[in-house]
Amino acid sequence: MHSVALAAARLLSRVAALFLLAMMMLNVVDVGLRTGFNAPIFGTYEIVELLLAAVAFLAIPEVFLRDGHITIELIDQILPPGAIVWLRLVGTLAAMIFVALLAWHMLGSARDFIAFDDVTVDLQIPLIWKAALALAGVAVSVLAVLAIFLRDLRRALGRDA
Amino acid sequence: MTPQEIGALGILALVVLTFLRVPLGAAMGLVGLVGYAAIDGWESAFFVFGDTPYAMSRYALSVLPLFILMGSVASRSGMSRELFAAANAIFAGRRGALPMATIGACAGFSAISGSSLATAATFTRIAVPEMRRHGYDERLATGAVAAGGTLGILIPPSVIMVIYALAAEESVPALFAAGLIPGILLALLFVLVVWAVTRIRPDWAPAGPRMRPRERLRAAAAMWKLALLFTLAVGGIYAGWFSPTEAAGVASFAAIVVAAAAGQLRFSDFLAALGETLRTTAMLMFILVGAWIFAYFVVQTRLPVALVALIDLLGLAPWAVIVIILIFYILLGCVLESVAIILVTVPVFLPIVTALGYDPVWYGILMVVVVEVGLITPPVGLNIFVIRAQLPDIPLGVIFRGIGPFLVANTILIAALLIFPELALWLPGLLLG
Repeated sequence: MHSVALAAARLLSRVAALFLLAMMMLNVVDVGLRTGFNAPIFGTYEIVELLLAAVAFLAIPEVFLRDGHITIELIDQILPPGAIVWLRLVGTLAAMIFVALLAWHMLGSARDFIAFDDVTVDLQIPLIWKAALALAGVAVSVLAVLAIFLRDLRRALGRDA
Repeated sequence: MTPQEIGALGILALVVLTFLRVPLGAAMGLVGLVGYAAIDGWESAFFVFGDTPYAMSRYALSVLPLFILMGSVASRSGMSRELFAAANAIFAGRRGALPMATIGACAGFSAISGSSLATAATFTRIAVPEMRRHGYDERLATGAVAAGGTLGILIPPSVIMVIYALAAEESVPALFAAGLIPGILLALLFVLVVWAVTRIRPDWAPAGPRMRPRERLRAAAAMWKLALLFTLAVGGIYAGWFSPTEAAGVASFAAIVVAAAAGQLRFSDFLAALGETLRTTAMLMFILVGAWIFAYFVVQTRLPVALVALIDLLGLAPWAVIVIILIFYILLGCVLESVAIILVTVPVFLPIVTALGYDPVWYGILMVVVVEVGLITPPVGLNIFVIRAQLPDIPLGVIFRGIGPFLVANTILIAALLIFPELALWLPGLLLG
């Protein structure tokens, strides 16, 4: 489970890296063409928003797998280590409920984008493209949090070294 | 229950969930969802919930990953080391030259990096070993890096100001301009603190070797890379060349090209900078989505309106309200990290502050300065953890004792901003009209 989630998360992070470079280069080329030839790229604004959906959402699963999301760990100084293991489990469970609910209701909104043929104003980019990128990040996050939950559960039950 | 009571209960639930180690983004999102539903029903709550992530991938946010990338590349290249050498050229020969140079280098690095943690991490690696080698006291060495690191979010570009701008619906260029003078002032105050500490405890800081004018000039000349990047990233916005996103894109590209051309950026470092940028952006986006859902809920509760009415009833003077809010922020800084503080409190406090007649840009700068204090005070002083992670042999107590004197500088700046709001507001007025 953990290895499947890790492989999926890494794949998404690599895709996100390409989108990040594309976002940087799009701005450079746009500024260059505008300054040099007074010919900016039409609809840069909309392409950047599409790229941002990938850059910002596709690496979320990897951040989960690296325990990189901001968590307040003050309580660790008060509680014994045995209790913290269970508390981690509660935290992960809450995170899982959040991302699962989020993925489900994002799916609902995404269906609306398809049903109403929603597109951007200038380039007529279907909104479902942007939605699909963000949704992919959140959906794989569900898998990642589930993998962490199962790992933590094994630890809590003492079945893991 | 009235919406205000639901709001108060929601804030309490958020505190409980965060202390139970629920990731902050998830805690804010869940409380926001349930609270919104309690006021307006599940159907509209779920609609807002499912739509928020899409609404968050908006153009204004694209500036974040690009600025983070520039700072990440600059930190991994030799630029940060050259900057430290250049700053040292200014102070060489004085007692306390290296900690002063650390502050100077942090201020310079802040002009190309928008993160306090990245600035502290970079100069922990570069400056602390150098100060230890020259026999500086560890308290002064680590205190200078921790305090200097906080300049990262005050001197533009600044990640936290972009987030504040988004939450408060204010302009990023106005906030960047407003942070510059307070940032330079704080850097000067930090240098004064180093000077005062070395006068009181000369044994903490040995007198360093002098430098010849020619050596000083050669070291200072290496700052051209920094000057170029700052001109592109920040200067370009006010010169009217670029939007903030374009500036961040061009400057991050320039950082990669300059570092690679100078042979200071290996391919593995470039990949590491990309990975770090993506993870920081994703972490920020996760927390932003949760915070946005929470903010929708706070608006529904009309809690800020009730608080403004309460302030009227109590007949509190506006400045007294601001002081109470600042004390609250300092307490909050002890338990929450900076992005979270901004995102949780802006929906509640900003309407109060503007109702009292204060400028939201000024308030943003004041918040950033107060949040900086939280970064270097126990128990959740993230800058300190960053230093400690790289230098595990230095006890936390030593670092905290070293920071004490620098907090005087932060207090002076907060007081100065309260008395003279023009410190923050003059430059944006001049540049942006």
